[in-house]
Amino acid sequence: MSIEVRGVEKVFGGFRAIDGVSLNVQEGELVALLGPSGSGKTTLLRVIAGLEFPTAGSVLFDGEDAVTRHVRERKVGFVFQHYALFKHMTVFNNVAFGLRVKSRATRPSNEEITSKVNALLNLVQVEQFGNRYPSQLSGGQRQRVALARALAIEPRVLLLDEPFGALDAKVRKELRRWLRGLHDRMGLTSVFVTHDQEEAMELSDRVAVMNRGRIEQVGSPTEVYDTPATPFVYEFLGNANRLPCRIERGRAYLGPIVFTEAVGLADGLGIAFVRPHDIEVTVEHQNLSIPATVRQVLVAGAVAKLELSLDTEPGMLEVELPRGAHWGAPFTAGQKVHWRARTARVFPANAGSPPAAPSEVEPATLK
Amino acid sequence: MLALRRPSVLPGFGPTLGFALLYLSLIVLIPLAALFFRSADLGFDGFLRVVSTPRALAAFRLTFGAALFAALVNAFFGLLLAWVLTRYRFPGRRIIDGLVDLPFALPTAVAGIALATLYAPNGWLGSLLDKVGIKVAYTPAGVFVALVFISLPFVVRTIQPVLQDLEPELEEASASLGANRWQTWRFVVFPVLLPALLTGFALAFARALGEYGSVIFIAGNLPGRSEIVPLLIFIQLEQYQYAAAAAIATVMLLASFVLLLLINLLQRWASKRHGE
Repeated sequence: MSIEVRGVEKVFGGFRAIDGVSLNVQEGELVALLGPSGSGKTTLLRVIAGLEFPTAGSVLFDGEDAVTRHVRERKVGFVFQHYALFKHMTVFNNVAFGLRVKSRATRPSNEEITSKVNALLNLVQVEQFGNRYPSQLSGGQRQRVALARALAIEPRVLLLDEPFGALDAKVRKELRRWLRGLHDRMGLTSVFVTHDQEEAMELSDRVAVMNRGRIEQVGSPTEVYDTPATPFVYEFLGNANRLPCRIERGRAYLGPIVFTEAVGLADGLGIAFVRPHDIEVTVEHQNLSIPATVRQVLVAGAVAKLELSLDTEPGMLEVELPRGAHWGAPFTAGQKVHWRARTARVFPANAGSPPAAPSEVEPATLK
Repeated sequence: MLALRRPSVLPGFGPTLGFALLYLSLIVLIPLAALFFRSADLGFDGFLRVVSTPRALAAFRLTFGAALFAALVNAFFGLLLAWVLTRYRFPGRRIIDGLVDLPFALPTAVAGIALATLYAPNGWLGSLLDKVGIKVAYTPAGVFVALVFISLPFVVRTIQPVLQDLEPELEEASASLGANRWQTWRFVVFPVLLPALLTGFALAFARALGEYGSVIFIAGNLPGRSEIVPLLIFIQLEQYQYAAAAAIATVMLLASFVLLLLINLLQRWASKRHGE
C-alpha cells in the first residue's frame, strides 16, 4: 500500500515538532526517516501510524484519507523502540494478541491462530522460545518478537521506530541485514526511523533526511550522500569539512585562490563543504592547489587521517587517505603540503538551517 | 548454613540479620507466643467453648465479613481513584491526592466520632437515609462504613506507583494491534496491576480486621449484632477473663494468618505470570 503525507504539521504546546512535511512512500518501498534527536522523525512516524493526530495536513493510505481512522482500524504494524512487549504474556501469546482481540466474526479459529503464530515465530527465528516470557529473551530476540507481533495482524504498512536503537553493534548489523531480506521477500511498504546514517544508507530504498520538523531532502542513499541539497544534509551524512569562502562570478575563492566552481550562486559569502576522502594531498604545488601544513597524522584501520592547517586562512581541514596511498609517501607532522578538493559543494553562507542542537523533545531516544 | 557464610560484596549480613531477628522477636513473635500460651490455660475444650459462644461467633462473622467486604469495595473504588489520579490532569488533583492519606493521618477515634455524627439518625447523612428506612449508625452497616473509610489509602497507594510506571507504549501497541479500550484494559493493563491490587487488598483487609477506634463509636456495639471482635476481647479483659480474651484473639490471629497466606499465594501466582 502506498502512503502519502500531505503538509502535515504537529504542534505540542508551543513547539512545532513537525512543520509542514510532505512525503510519498510507494507500494513495497522501504523508506528511512533520518535525522538527529528532536528533528520530528518519530512524531511523523506516529502521525502515520495514527498514534498522534496531526495539527494540520493529512495522511493518505492508497489515496484514502487515514487521519479520521483510529489506530486500531488502520492496520499498521508498529514496532516500538523499546519493543513494548506484554511482559505478563508468553512470546506465543504476545504474537497471538492481535489475532485474539479480533471481533468474533473475523477471529480465526484457535488452530488457525496456533499455526499462524508458529509460522511467524519461525519467520523471525524464535520458534523455540514460544513459551518463554519477554524478560527471558535477549534484546535482539525481543525485537524480532515485536516484529512478529506486528506482522500477525497482516498489516498494510510496517512502521518501525528506531528498530535497532537499543541493540549492540554486532546484533544490529545482523538484524539489519535480516530485516532487509525479510522486506525483500514480503514486499511490505515500510517506514523506519533512525538517527544512524549508516543504518539508513544500508537498509533503505530511499532516505528522507529530517531536521527541525522539516524534510530537507528525499532521495536514494547515494543521491543524498553524493548530492546533498542543503548544508545540513551534507554535514549530517558523513564527515564534512566546512570552509568559509567567497563567491565571485560563479567561482568560490579561498583567500586569493580559486577553490571550486560555484555555478549559479550569487556573489557573496559562502560555505564550501568537502568530504575528508575527497581531498588530494601532494608535496608539490599543482594547478589550483592550496598550501597547508600537516598538524597531525593518525593511522586508524584502513585509513590514514591527516589534520591540515591552512596557510592562508584560519581553520583546520580533515583529510582521509587510503592507507596504501599514505604508505607510499608518508606525511609527517609539520610538513608543508598542497591540497586540492576532488569535489566540493558550495552553499551561500545563509542557506538552509544549521544543524539542530539535540533537544529534549524526544526523550525516548535519550534513554 | 554454608550458604550464609558465602563471601559477599555487601558487608554486615550477619549483624544486620541478627538484629532484625531480635527486633522481630521482641516486637512480634514474643507477644504472639504469649498469646498462645495464655489461651492454652483453658484447655482444648474450654478454648472451643469460649470461641463458639453465639456472641463470639457473631463477632467473628461481623468482623471478618465487614473487613472483607470493605476491602473488596476499596479494591474497586481504590483502583478507580488511583487510575483517575495518575491518568488525568485536572484542577484539584493534588488536593484529592493528599486527601487520600487522611484516613492514615487522622486519629481513628476522631474518624469514628465524625462518622457517627454524620450517620446518626439526626446527622446530615443519617437523617436523609433514615427517611428511606436505611440505618447506618449503630448497625453492622456502620461497622462497614468505618472500615471502608480507614482502609481506603492502602489500595490507592499500592496501585499508584505501578500505574505511573506503566509504559504508554504498551497501550499504544495494544491499540495498534486492533484491541479496543476494554480489551486493552482487560488483557494489557489489568494483569500488570493485579499483583499490586492484591497487595493493596491484603493490606486493607488486614487493617480493617484490627480496626477498633473508629468502629466502636459508630457501631453501637450491641452484643451479637454490631459488636466487633477487638471490642469483645476488650470486654473480656475488663472482666478479668484473660484466658478467654486470649482464646478469641488466637482465633483472630490464625484466621488472619491463613487469609494473608492465601492472598500471598495468589500474589505469587499473579506475579509469576510476569516471568519474574
